[in-house]
Amino acid sequence: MNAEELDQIVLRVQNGDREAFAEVVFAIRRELRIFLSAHASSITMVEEVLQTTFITLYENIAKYERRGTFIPWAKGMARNLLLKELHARSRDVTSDGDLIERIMLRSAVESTKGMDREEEYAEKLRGCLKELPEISHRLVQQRYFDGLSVKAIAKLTNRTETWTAVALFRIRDLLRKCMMKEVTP
Amino acid sequence: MNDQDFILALEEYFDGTLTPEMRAAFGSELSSNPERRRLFEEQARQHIRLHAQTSKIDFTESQHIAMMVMDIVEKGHEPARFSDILHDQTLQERFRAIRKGLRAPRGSNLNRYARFALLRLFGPPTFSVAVSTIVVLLLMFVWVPKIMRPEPEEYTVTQIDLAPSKAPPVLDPTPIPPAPTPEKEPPTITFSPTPSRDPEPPATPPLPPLPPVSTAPNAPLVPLRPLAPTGLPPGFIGRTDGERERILKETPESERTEKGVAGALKWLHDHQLENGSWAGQDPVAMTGLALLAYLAHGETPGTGRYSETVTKGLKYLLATQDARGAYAQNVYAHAIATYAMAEACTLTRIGELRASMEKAVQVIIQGQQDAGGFDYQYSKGARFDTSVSGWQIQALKAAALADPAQPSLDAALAKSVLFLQREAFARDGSGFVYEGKNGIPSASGAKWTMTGVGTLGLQILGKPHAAQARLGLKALRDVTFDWLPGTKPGVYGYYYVTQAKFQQENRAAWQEWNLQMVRALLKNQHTDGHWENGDYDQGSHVYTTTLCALMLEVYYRYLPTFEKAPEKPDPTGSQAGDVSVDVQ
Repeated sequence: MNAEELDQIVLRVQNGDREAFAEVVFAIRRELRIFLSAHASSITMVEEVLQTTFITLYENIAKYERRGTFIPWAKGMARNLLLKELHARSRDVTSDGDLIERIMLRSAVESTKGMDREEEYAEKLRGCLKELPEISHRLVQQRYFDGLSVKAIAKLTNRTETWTAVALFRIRDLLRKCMMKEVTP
Repeated sequence: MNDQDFILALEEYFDGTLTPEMRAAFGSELSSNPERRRLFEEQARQHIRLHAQTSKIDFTESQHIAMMVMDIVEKGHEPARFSDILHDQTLQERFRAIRKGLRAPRGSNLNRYARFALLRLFGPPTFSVAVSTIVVLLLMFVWVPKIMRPEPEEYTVTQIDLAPSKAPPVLDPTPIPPAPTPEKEPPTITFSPTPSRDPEPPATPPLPPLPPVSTAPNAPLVPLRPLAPTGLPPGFIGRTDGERERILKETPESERTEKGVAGALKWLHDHQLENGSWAGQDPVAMTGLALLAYLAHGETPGTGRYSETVTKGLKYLLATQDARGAYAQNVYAHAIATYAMAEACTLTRIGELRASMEKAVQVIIQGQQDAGGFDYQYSKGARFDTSVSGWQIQALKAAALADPAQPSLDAALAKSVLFLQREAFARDGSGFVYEGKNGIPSASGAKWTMTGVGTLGLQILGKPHAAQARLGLKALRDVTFDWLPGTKPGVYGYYYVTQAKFQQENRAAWQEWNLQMVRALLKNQHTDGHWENGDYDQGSHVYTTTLCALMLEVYYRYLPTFEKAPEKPDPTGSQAGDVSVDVQ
């Protein structure tokens, strides 16, 4: 769907067509989720901020001026909400709080400094995923697309949990290196 | 912590299954080892990215999100109504949700919803008076029965709940009065039909226009067509005489199994009550099950030796249906009756049956939870019940085959798939759980009976290759069909497992199960055709007999998807692609 078509659907929402908002959600959800995933501290945070973004979008949709910039407009909102969330949680996590959560939050806040390159990274990751060997591709699919735990994958594939965990670890590392190699000038 | 332990702990952290001790050890490892900390950060970042990159995006879920968003934004500015506030959550659950939301970060969805709900509970003074009244009513109607009802023991989890039947006493030969309309209408989900994004044509040809519905109590139920393969969904053609014979010729021991089925149908005929029902825990549920056994054998109001028996049974169900569309207050009974009505409708196209089924299906759709599952009393609280959901799913799928154009059916089926994959499946991959809280995946606790339910559910919903369905079959490998003399066999679970195994492509595994099943069932059938003592059978033997008969009818009841129906010229224009979406 191109930007003009999306604007047409937004116009329907602005004119009171409730059904059309589901089409807006369908059209932008994936892109927003990928955008948020680069800087959130957990999958739960991605999903929470995503939902809050949709609420804010719906509340403000009347203010949007149709110039083919709906997705950047939505991403701007998502970005602000994510930053707000990260800073709020960083304040909440005290020194005696969960160490792992603190590490993740600090890492996430740090990552927001490179927000402008996110689209490039996402594009590269898509390309790197396509280059994975069949067995690795299947593991990624089972872990993320099917949402299976390591235990469940091990059962399904007749492997040990350790084998499965190590394989996933290597795949993620491989994908990270592939992504960085492609992006870094 | 060695490398392997570190990597395993990392995955368990992602899965949320780290024990508190392991979590502490993992945290301490990260704080003392900068290299591991770097690896953790990199891996976690990639984990989140991959989750987003590979997430499923479907339109039905987008509709659901859009509805929730609009609900939160718009209703926050409207005057509150009782039904909105109470929804189907108990007050206790609502307060729990509010408390959780108030602790959530300000501005988060949970927090906004909590503040909104709080405002509505304690906002306008006039409203608080009404709320107090509601609280008192709630205590009377929701909590008091709960307190008075003893907690069920673990083994009763799949029992058909015997809510006070609204049907007349089973021996009463007088006509059945219509059931009273419940005082409180169930909450309504307005779910518009999912726009088709699939370029394929509909799986089944459109049904003929609905004929006028007769309201005369003794009007005959006249099928609009003979029972023949043409025009039937491909999964159903095994129920026609010629096809059933063809299939049975290729089935080992079929002469004996068919004798068993014939004995059961005869016994059921002999034990049908004057009013058309069958006795048991719940006459509506028992009648639905008996009808399913007859319909599986191709016995309809217009065909077969038992056409009169089937007609009487269907008329009993029609008479029990209330204005809202419910055949019974009990969710199991209503779903089983709807299932039978939908199959009868598919096989006969009788207008009265179709009209009744359509209303009944709406009751199920309106009772579906946001996460796609179901619970007792069609409650919309956080709890889901896989056993209850299993019968609703079978009914919905049967209804989709009878009339795929029913409003909201696509969305309900899609939500059911999501429910089975996300809520009912145990995270450790061991199968499906009996119950849980929506949004909180169960780490473990799968039961073989529920694994039968979930696996068959995914198979009939067109997802036989989903990882959860394959893991389900794997978990069912070790289940054996045991029926030792003097024991109570688990016929409830066997009913599901038999169908799930029949639908699998691994024919060796099916044959192994089939051998056990046939041996056990034929050995335990009584000479007059009935079976008894199945789990949850409460004396009438109808429950055990119908489930056993349905197991022996498995060969032709629903043809499996991987075994495509033979190509036949089809004057009604049904599509070749039907097989791929059919009930297996």
